Amino acid sequence: MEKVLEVKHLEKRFGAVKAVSDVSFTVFKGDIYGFLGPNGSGKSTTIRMVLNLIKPDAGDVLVFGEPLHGHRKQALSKIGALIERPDFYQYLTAYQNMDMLAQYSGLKNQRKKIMELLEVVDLADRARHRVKTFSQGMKQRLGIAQTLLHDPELIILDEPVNGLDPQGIKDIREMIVRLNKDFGKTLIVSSHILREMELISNRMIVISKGKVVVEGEVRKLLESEQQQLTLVTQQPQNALELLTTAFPQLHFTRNTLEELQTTLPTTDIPLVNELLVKNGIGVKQLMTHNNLEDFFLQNT
Amino acid sequence: MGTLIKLEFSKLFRRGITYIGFVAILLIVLVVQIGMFVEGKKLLDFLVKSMSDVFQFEGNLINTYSVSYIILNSLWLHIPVLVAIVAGDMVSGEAGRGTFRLLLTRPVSRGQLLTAKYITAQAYTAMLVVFLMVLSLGLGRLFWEPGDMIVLMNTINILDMSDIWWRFLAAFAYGVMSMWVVSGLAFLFSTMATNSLGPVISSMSVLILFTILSNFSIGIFEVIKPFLFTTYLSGWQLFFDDPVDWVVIAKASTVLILHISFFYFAALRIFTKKDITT
Repeated sequence: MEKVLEVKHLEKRFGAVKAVSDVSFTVFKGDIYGFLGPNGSGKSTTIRMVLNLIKPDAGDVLVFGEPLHGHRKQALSKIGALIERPDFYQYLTAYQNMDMLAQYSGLKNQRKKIMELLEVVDLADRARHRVKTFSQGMKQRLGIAQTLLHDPELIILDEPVNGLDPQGIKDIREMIVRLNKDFGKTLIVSSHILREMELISNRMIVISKGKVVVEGEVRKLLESEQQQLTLVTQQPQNALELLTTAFPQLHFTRNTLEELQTTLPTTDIPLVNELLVKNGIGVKQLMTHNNLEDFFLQNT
Repeated sequence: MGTLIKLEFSKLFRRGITYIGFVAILLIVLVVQIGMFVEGKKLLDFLVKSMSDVFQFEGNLINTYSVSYIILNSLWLHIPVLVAIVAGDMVSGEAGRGTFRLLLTRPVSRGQLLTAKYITAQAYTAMLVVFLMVLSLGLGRLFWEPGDMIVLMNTINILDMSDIWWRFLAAFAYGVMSMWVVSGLAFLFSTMATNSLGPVISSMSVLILFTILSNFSIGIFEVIKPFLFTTYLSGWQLFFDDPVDWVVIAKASTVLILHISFFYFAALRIFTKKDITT
């Protein structure tokens, strides 16, 4: 697979604080690459180093195999980015902002393209409105539209759903998937809304305190030999006694009146169900939890 | 580069703050012209009182040129403040508003972007001084007739009406250059800040401090005086000497040009190395 971005051993220190320490990762063509980490973990600093907004103390960034250092202009011509809040020129309209940014990218007479992009993000009818009248969600959508102006192959979105309502989050999520599927873009998306990342990304990195905790395919990372199980039954006490006897190595806890919880090997789950049913204990629900949120909490 | 400069101009003139300078200059010129129209004769009588025993003055000494000469003194403080407001916002304003994140993630050279901003700031500065010239000489023509001009400095220079125009043009051109230094200084501070107020206050503080040092005629200050740009800010007055001391003007211009260049290259170095964290 073609490597779109290679980050090798990035380091950055702000005074006495080491913000990023030995961060390395690779993004391949076609990825929606999740960039996860708690607040202050070094996500934004790493992304800013990838975009040459912050100079690394050590390490290399390769964009399509070319080093960023010394080739900034060429590298950035292949990247579109939205970093944190989309701060546009408030006194300009959506169209004027887009036109100005296009010209900064060396593009002229882009009227048709700008209107097409505004159409993509559902802002065509607000093209002549000043950005200061826009909601946060509209600004985010405009922010995504501007990343596409110079038709980059890699798009970096840093916290694109920050401050959005559920509908806004859904809109952005759908837009990210559309950019990947319909426009063939490779995306790096940083977010702390893990449910969203789980839904859209195929590969991810988790960083904490400036260091890489884990990196790889989301599906493989979430596959685990141990799973958390929640069991809902009308006879919780009987079930608890039976399971404790049959599985003495497991620790069951009673959460609510009808709910039991434990962590067990994936292979034991059907055995638990079979044992309860055979002993006449009705099982109302059997739920396994193995989501990104649990993974994140375990690893950061 | 041409596109970048055009874009910077476009942004500059779409913002209200840009017009403060022009409005303030209009007010300054109007206040001085009206003030001189109403009370000018009393002021002049007071100034030439001691000379009236020796000289005989005929006609009106207050005319277009003498009032414009008075207005030129706004280059001491008023115009520097107005220039610093815009130049001090050129870089820091983008940092504070977060728009640098949008600009600097585009395939545009940081050096070219800063140079475009510097050229725009200096062009704006020149526009302000030219506006001051047009307004003071043009508006002055509405209030007064042109006439010979009397200049009181270390000596008394009486300049013939036909010998004045070029002096004003040269004085205003020098004024543009001296304001470029102030603008350059505010611009330099602007590359270090993330709000617009800091660069304005910093550059005004430096201007005031250096002006005080330039006017101290003792000890160590005598040594550093020739190197301070503030020593030469009033150099426009030299064009109203008779004869004009071109050697002194050339020396003053050299010092100012060196300052303008130094501020640009320092700003360029800081900006190209700067981490964008806002």
